[in-house]
Amino acid sequence: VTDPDPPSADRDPAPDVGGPVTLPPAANGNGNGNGHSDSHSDSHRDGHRDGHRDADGDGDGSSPSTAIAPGPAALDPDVVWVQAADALWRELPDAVVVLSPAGDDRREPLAISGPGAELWHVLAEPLTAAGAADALASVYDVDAETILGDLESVLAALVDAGVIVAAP
Amino acid sequence: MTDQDAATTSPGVADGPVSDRRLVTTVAAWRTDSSLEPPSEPLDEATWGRVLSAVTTERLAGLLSWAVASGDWPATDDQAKQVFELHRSWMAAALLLERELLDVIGAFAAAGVQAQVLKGTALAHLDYPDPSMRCFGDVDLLVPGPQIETARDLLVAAGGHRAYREPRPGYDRRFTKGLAVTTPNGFEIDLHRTLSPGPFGLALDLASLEADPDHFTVGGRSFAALGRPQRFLHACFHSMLGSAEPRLVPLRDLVQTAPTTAVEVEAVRALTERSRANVVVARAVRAARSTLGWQPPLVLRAWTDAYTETARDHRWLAGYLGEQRAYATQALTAVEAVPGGIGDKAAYLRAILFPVDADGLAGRKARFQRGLHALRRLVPTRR
Repeated sequence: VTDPDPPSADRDPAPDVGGPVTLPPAANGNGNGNGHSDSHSDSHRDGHRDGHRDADGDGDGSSPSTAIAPGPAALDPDVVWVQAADALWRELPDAVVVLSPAGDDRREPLAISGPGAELWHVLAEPLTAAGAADALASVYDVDAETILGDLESVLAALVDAGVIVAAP
Repeated sequence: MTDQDAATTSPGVADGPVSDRRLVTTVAAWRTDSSLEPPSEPLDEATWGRVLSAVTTERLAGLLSWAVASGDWPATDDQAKQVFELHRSWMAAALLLERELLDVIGAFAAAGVQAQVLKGTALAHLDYPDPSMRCFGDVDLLVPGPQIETARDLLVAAGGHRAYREPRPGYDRRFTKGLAVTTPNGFEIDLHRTLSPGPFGLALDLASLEADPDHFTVGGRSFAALGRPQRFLHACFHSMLGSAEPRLVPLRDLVQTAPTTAVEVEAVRALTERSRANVVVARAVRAARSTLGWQPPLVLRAWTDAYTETARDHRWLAGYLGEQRAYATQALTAVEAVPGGIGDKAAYLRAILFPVDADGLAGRKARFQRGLHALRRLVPTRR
């Protein structure tokens, strides 16, 4: 007598053991067919190397945002931006991880930290790019004009990821 | 014995120098009413590496990450960076699973399937101080028996793969604990008809289980989940019946969902008595106390301490615990708990002993021998 169809929790002697999902490579935008990784080192390492883009906007060189061309609309001073209502996200101690469920292209999770994470929070309310820069300027005690220049690529990355949208 | 004593003498938690196991257990107990204290200074690199690995295996990265960030768990800069990165990885996985959940629930709703979200996803949003504290690696859904075939067929039609076939037509609808389907994206969707295999799962009062659901929002969409007493019961089931020894995350889930008032305890007690599961709750609460050093609310402790186990409890538990844990034993003891009359019990036995798609005669023979072996092991418990 064997369990004809146990969910994984009953099939595995250590039922819930498993590493995080190894995230899909940026190139294919789809699941990796693996789903679970039981290897801490592999899932940990690969999850970050292949799965995350770090749009931290903190100028430490870790942000790949320079590889993402800002959309022309991102700088339109009249556009009001806001968090997408359907965005999935988690607040972490050092970052925010966001993911858009919309569209068929199966985007990847995006990790944002530093001022990028602060921008995410600021855009819980609809704001223009200049408005967001003003809000961040008060947080970081930096000139809003300077922030607006740096904001461009991060905002573009978030718009590209589908988690920030133009407010209706 | 005090709870402090229990925490220091429970299996796997060594006295003397702080063991890796105790450190990981301390992570699981962080910010509960526990006697376990984090270390007073950063761990040496070797110990940290082992603890981080165990934290990954035990799905406790969220708790350790927040414990480090809060300053409660001392860590070097490198250690903090490592656990934060690990946390990001788990949460990225959680979001991918929640996107899968949105797709699946959308398809189910279109087909009229009413599913409630179980375990990690629901607990993260409803019971933990922050959803990022609870890591999970699959999607678990409770689907009413009459709808589980529709749900299964929808997932398979969408390209999902079911690892094990239904042993006989109607088994999924009437008897199964649940079934797992792997989606084309590689994610596992577990469809649960009840909360455990074996007698406790079959004896569960499913109408009460599905009653008074709670709701949470993900991606702008509302999802139904079990009510809080039911979530507590599920955490107890997962702790005591999900593995031979209780695992840390289900025990922490138990703590997060525990009833704290007399009214809440009474709601849980009514549910467990209807489901003949008092022993599961009593033992799970004791396990949380002894393992996590947790101090349960007095009303809960008073009830569970007063519970007297029965011969049936021991007979039903035999297939779940310790070295005797075996699906065959669970399946045979479950006959007693199959709802309905003799015809239903016969149908259950026929399905598990003589599946229509067994691997030929050799497969049937091996199956029968495993059943016979399980029966022999059960005999002493009947005396």
